[in-house]
Amino acid sequence: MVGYSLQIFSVGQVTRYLKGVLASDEALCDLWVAGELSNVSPSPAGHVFFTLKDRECQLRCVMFRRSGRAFPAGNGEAVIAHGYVSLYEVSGALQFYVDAVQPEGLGLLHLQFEQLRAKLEEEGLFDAARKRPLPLFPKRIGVVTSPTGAVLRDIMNVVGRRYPLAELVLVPTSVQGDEAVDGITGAFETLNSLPDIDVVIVARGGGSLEELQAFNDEQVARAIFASRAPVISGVGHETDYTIADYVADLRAPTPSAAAELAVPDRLDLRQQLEARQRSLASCLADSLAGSKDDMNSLLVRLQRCGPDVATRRLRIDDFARRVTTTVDTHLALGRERLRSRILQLNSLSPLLTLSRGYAVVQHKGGGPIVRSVAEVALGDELDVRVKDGSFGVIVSQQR
Amino acid sequence: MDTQRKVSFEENFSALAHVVEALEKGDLTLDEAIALFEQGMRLAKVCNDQLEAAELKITRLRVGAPGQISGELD
Repeated sequence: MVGYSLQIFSVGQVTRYLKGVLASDEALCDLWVAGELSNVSPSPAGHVFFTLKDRECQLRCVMFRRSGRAFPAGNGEAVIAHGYVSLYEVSGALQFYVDAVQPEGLGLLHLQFEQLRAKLEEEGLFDAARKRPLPLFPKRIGVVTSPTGAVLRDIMNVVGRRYPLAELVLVPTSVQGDEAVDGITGAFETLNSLPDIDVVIVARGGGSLEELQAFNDEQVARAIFASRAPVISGVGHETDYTIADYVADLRAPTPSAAAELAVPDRLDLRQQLEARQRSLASCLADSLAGSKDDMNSLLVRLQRCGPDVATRRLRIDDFARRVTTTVDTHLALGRERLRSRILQLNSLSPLLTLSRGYAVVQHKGGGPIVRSVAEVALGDELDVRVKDGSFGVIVSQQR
Repeated sequence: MDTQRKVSFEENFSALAHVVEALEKGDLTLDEAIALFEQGMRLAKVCNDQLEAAELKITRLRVGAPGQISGELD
């Protein structure tokens, strides 16, 4: 060993070196490969080993177990796979580590969709726990959609009909084509900078997978995730599911449905108001009825304890009757006594004596009554009263 | 007339719910019940008026240079 230096490496050094070379090659780290499947063999741990081949060459592949997802193709099928190439040091084998594989017929877009979906789900962008609740009575609603076309009109109609108390804040953007991704992302950034957006609707009408592509874009997905306000997605038709739909806080099958989910319906609200007014009225009526009942029972108790007017009235009547009777008796007695006195009086009356034939003799002109012969002289003029009148006399004789 | 800041529909609506709850719970003097009833009816009327009178407002934003946002009401 003279003249040149010789370096001897270990196997491990070589394999590690090779691994490093592969890892530093950008293309090999993010590779899409089309080929035919063969030797598909699942391992006991659930990973799948297979070979991708074309007419002359082949690549050994492994796809690690994906929870809940079956390997989507079988031997002999043409597929597209995505992954990175590396060296498995233990066996010295070059391997294509696959993270997404799809039958070729479905196309690259589909595969990319699946791949991005898996990646973002893994990161937690779709987590149910992070979905934010929608406000019940939104005051300001952000709308990210095209300024032309039926979608915006539909959203305006639905919100205008159901809950015109809200204000729509439209951030217009294209929803397909080259500018769509930046446009939608920018729209969300704009809305984030506004102070009081309560909820955001992002919407576009139906279309092909190509036309909906902006909503399957990673940048757009992250913009939706980063929205300060909760986001309702209404993209495409009912059967279209885009990445945006997974990231959004709530997915609606159509733009109109998104608008319906965003706001309450004022017809409903009116019915609730009427129901509450009825509750108020019936509660008050109950209160009044309750008070009336209380008052009535108090009245009854009052009457029972109070002075017994009826009995008192009877007693008063009784007294009155007895008084009357007594008075009558006294009167009768009095009258009786009076009558006998009158009779007595009458019997002593001089008029009675006169009627018996006696006369009253007086000196003429009302002089004193003559009671004895000694009181008269011859020739005296006297008045003689008898029972029915009087006459004058002259004394003609004395005896 | 209320000269303070306008009370939102949501606030009036939930205030009415509280009034109804209080009345339904009972436990009030007749005066209190009547006062609550009147307040509730007033709130219901305001809510209905707000629902009736509302007209949808739409603001279209124009984004100029970063940070420059101008809006115009439709």
